[in-house]
Amino acid sequence: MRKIKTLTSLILAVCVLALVPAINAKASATVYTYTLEIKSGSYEFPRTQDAYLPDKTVTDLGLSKPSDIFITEDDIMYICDSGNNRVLLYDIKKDEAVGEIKGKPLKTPMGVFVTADGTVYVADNGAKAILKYSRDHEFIEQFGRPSEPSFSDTNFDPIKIAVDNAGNMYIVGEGVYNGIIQLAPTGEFLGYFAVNRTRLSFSQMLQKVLFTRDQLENLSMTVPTTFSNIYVDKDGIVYSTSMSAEENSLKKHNTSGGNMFKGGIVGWNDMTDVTVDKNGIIYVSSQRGYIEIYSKDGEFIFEFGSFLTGTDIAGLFTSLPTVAVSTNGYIWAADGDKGYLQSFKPTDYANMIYSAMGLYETGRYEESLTAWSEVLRLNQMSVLAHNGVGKALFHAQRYEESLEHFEVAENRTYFSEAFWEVRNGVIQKALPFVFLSIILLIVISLVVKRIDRKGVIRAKRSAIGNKLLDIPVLGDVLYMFRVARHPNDRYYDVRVGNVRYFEQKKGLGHGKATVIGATIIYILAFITYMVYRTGKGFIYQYVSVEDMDIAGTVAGFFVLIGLFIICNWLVTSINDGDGNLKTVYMLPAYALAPLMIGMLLIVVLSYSMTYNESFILTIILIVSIIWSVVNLFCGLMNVHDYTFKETVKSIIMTVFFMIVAMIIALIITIMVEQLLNFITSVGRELVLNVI
Amino acid sequence: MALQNTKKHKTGVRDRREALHAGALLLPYGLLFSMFILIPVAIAMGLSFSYFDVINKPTFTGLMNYIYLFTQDTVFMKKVLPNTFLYALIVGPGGYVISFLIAWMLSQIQALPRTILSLAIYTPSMVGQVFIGVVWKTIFSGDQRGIINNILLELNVIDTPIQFLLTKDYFMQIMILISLWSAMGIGFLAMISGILNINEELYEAAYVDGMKNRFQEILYITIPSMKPQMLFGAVMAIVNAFNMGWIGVTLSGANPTPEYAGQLITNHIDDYGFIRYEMGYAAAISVVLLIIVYLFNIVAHRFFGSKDE
Repeated sequence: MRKIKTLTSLILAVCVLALVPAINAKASATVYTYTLEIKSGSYEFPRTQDAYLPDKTVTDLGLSKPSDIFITEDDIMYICDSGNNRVLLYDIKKDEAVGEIKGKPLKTPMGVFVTADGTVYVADNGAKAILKYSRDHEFIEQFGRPSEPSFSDTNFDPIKIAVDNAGNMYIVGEGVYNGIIQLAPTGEFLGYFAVNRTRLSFSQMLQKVLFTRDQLENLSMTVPTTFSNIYVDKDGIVYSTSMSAEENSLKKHNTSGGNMFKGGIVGWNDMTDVTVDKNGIIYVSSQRGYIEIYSKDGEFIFEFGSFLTGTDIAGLFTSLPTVAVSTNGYIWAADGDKGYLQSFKPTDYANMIYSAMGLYETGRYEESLTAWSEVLRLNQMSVLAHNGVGKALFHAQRYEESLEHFEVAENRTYFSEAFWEVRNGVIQKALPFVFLSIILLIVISLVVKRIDRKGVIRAKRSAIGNKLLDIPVLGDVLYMFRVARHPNDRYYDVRVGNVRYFEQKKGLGHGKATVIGATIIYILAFITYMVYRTGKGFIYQYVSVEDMDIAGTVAGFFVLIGLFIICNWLVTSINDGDGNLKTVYMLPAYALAPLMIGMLLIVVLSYSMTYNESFILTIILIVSIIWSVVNLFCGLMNVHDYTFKETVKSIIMTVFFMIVAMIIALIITIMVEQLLNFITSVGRELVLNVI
Repeated sequence: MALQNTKKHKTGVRDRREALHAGALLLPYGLLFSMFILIPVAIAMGLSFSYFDVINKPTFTGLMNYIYLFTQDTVFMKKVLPNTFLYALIVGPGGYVISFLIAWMLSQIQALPRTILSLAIYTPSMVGQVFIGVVWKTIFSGDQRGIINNILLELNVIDTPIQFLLTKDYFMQIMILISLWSAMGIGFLAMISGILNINEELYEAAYVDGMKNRFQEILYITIPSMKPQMLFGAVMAIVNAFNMGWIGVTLSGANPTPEYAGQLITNHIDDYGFIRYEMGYAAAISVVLLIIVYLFNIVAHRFFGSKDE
């Protein structure tokens, strides 16, 4: 008896729970908002303030599989109610259905579009036609399959439609790979508007070049992705979304069909619908259940939502086929399975961002600055806001202040621009002094030359250099600069072990290569390398120090050099190389001087260079690398007493041995790991079973 | 030489007469040189301190042109100067090294193919402007018929043809490529003759002394023996590198080049001198160019100049 009671109460409770419309739970954020952060070059989507809150849920319209919604300028929503073969009209302000289009030809409407003058276009997938209705929803005409020969035998199963101001129709057809079908107002086929290209992988490209026609036909050819939706904004600009395109799933088309988002957009490739409000802000719905919002220029603003789910929570969907925006900025979306409408109300945070963007775009930089600062007050770390403040300051010519905002936002391009202006100001102020000092230097050098006809001062200067070279350890280190100047001769000295007689006679034989000197150079080179990796100016330091794999860098540096020394020694000792372990150890160290100077120079210059002059740094790096490699090459040639060919051979073999050694090391570590595993499991077995 | 000799012995009627002869012999060239080079350069230097619009008389403005150039002319500081240095740093040494390597390689083969090949390699620098108009413009044409665009479209690498010559993205790279291709000019010919004139016995002697390979041959014999030609080549390379602004204009068909992507100092001078008719300002820019070229030449002399100069 008792058991039955509990059972019935349980059943009752379940029933009650099922009856209570959980959908009505409002206001609290059931959907989270995420924004974009670019950290050290990789995209991250941290959670941010709620930009949209679920507002109204409309469940009483009796919708079945709504596939498309469209909101006109007087806030009438046209809902493509595919399951019921009708287009329903819903007044958002009055919150009630205000009629429907149910003319005879409507079979399975999948897409609806209303032009500015109120003409309604319906893409009827079942009837394989586009239906045109007047402002008062009276049937005007229908456009069937275009009869032009150029349309050939392509399918005509329209699913989405958009119409520009001239009455040209842009139609997304099911299974049409050629692009968006463009029809003239008369229904004449004008051509395919935008085309999603197939991207061939490298191997496919090779196949295309090498294979015969027959072989190519046997391959399953990749087809371009089809479009998923289309929209035309009030200025007649066409937007399209496509699913599973590798990139550019959202496109803003120019009149020739090209993509106006040059670098593509940040986002996912499962977009189902796109809509654009009067400010040009782009709203995209995705198959996952998220709604993404992009600025006019395709900049990711934020996204909100949650993954698709069956639970009845406001703001969550079981499928999300379409999205639209009402005149007051509320986002409306339809659930494709359960057939209800859901609206989202923008928060102050979202509104503030939009108004700041609008102000910036219309050139009211001062006002947009205050608006962005307000956003920044709400969210200190908002990349968007920092970018906004920075750009507003930049346009207000307050370059110095804009720098820190661009630094937080990691906007290196704009940082570089702003820095150029700041630097230009400094240069202008310093110009007279620079000119004066240059003239002074020229005069001084002329005077010195005049006085120093016999070269006394010069001799003294080189004498100081030689004295430095004669100091035991310091001289050994400084010797690397002499190596860099005459690698052939100096490495010859390293092999022979003493300074050549006639050089000594000329007073040039100062300094020598030693093991201690080489060790110190290695350490110095390591320090230089670390400074180079971590200490560059903001614009050139792409990866911040926190995100760097320091241990890997350290290990990599020393392992690589150590491996090179050992492998080269092994290779050369069986190939009649003259060098012993000692000389081979010193060899790479003394070749490093140009590279070290180059790296230090780059670090110093990177603080005063913008992207405009980045080629200078590139050239310095290339020259220093080449110089060091030439040094190393000359070193190997002279130390081992090789010919050119033998040197190349020994280098190839050294590299090969290095790779082999690394593979062996990898195998050994794996095997040791296995062995340890084995021992521990044996031990465990012993503990468990024997004792 | 004659003049130097006379300086050493100032006394003596004979010497004075010799000086007179030398002067008389120099006179025709001296006149022409000063009339067509020395005086125009001096006038340009003078003009650089003035405002001159070709129609009115030049008015003296002091250093204003130079001050404006370095403080107000953002196009010059932001685009033209970096462009020029990038271009000169790559095309100057790059073209020079390529010239030397090709000259050296040609000197290793028989006379007949060498003559034919060197003529073929020298041709681009002679007919450059025509070639660029015909060949390179077809290769980099911005429509589907452009050769590179066609290949890329065929391979599905790109969707729409790239506007190589009308956008800034690739303009500089294309300019550099074409300049390197046509870098084998007069300097290259001088280097061939320099290499061919080296006494073969030098190499033999060096091999007896322990020289082992071709690399050492180049380093210890070839280059030191042809220093004058190397210097000449270097000077020509530098002057060329700073003078090839017309490539950008020919390619894009407009001055300024697209978004100033290929704007070199010479283009900037043309822009101000012959489009805006601000001759004074253009003269100031040319003086700056002269100074830059002169500084680079000093560097070249450091490397290849002989000791007694």
